[in-house]
Amino acid sequence: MKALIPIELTDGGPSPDSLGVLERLAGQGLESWALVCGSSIQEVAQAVACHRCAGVLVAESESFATLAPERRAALIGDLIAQRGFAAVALATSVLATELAAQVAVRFDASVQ
Amino acid sequence: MKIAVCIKMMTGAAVDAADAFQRVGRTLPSVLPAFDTHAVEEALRIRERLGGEVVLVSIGAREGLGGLRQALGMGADRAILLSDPALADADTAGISRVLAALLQQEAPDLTLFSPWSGDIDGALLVAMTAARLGLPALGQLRSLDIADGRASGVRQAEAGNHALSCALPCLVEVNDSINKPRSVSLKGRAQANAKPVKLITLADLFGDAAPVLSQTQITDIAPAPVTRDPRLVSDKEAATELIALLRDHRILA
Repeated sequence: MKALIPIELTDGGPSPDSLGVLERLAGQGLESWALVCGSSIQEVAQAVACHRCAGVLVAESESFATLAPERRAALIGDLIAQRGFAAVALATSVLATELAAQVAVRFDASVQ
Repeated sequence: MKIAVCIKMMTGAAVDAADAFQRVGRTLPSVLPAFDTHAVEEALRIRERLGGEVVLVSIGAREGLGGLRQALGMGADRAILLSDPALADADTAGISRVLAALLQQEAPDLTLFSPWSGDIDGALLVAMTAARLGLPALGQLRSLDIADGRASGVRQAEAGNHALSCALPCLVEVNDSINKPRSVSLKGRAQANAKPVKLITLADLFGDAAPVLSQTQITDIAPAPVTRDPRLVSDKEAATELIALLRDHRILA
């Protein structure tokens, strides 16, 4: 099963909680892909790639600078449709809550 | 200005195992959750400043009326309680479908939530409901200002505070540091019983086409595991031991 784990950035780096989710799912045998969104994020993506995962997807754009979840939710929606991710897992945070809700409504899915 | 306040009733006593599996349909008498009193208080303050009405909206068992009367006693104008046995095990996504339909019918300028219900905490409902309505949502605000057709406030997030703003109508989640809720006066308590409470069912909103109410299931409930390893330090050596512990955990350099 393929899982997508959007990595939240804190202080310019990947949040430890997001990396924890990534490691945990990969440890359970899932094909876990990290998603890093933002601008000038090559170093962040490389740091994420050091963790256990099938790969890192990088979405580099100034448009991800906003706190609003719509842009990220649209991207995750496209990735689910194109690459067949069965689950999206996020570390709990204020921003992740809004993103999870947007993605769930887009796919008429539920959130655990 | 029409302000809706969404309230999730909480049972005032420990629930038994069978009832605990019912996410919405708990049948014990309810109380107004402390978190929700902050949303009610904020709505009352906005009404006092800008005029209008405060409508309480709740989904749950009829036993939830007790908690709604508490909020009416604080000063809200009227209440709507959607009660239907089919909702007993509805999950957050299901509730957001129902709530979105209810709010669409009521069409408030501003809808207030608290992020936590006190029993099941997800803080997802406001964002899911807003997404279904196609309205903006501001989550976890610790201050709120309504002016010039916009809602503005400061959100408390893990990495710091965010200043946010959006146009009305919108949905706003206020946390428990936003205000100090008023207590219910004797007069308020007496008036609460005379205020209108509209009881509706799913059929009133959806006719025969009930929405999907639950895509998830609670399969087990167990106490949270204790992960901390408490350690007692003696009075005499407390300062030294605590500093060493903080250094061990890299809290102190």
